[in-house]
Amino acid sequence: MKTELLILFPVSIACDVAGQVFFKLGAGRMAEIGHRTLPAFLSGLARDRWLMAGLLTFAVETLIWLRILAEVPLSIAFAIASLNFIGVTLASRLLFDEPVSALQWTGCILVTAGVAILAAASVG
Amino acid sequence: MPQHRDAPTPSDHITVPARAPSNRWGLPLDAVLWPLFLLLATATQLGFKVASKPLEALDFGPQWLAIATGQPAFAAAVAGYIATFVVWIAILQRTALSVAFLLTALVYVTVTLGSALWLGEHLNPWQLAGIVIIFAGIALLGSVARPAPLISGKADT
Repeated sequence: MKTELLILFPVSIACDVAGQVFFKLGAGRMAEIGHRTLPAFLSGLARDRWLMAGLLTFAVETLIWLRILAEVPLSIAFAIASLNFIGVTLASRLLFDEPVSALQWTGCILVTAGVAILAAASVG
Repeated sequence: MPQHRDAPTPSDHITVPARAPSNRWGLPLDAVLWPLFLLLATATQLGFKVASKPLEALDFGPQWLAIATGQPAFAAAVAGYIATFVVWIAILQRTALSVAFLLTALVYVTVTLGSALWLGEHLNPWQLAGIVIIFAGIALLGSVARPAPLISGKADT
């Protein structure tokens, strides 16, 4: 059981990060095309391959999440999942070359800790 | 309302409120999209919680599925999920992922406070501590995202 979780948690966080990376790629491509009306934006959204990949990733992530929840309480699972804030910040820095200052990293770690504490404290 | 977006440039790395394009009412888009995102994401979660109430005594099966999907709260929550996704993509079109994703931590705050306000759930001191720490982290982020030539886009690379 324990070893399974050691694989499931990193895969779950990797799915979260990959899903957001796909969403950002899709949003970026849609911005390049430039949809001028809301219906055009919605139809572009429904057709974008990156966004589809993102949704698919979150579908897989949901199954992994259910597998995790079968083993650990929701509050603990959510507390560990808060690491996705660090993962997404890291991916933004490495893959999209976004500037992340030391102050921003501090904010990121505080947010992660805050979400972990809030999640762990929310039982029932 | 992303259709009013100006042509994006590769330097669109970070939200710069001073130069952010406005919609036809003169409101900065961020001032519309973020409250909308938080409202939809929170209402969606509270909607699912409300929809789960009549299911508490039931085992999973065809009847469970029929009752779950037959409720107005369930339909509203699914619609809310889709709308949240649409608004999120509109936000990502104009905001750095590293900034936008950290701000989504506010959903944990609004869902917790919403559960206390409208669903009568009790808050404990640790939850309040978590909320304060999340706000502290986001306050630090706010100080980075403010308009300053030093950090706008790729000027520093």
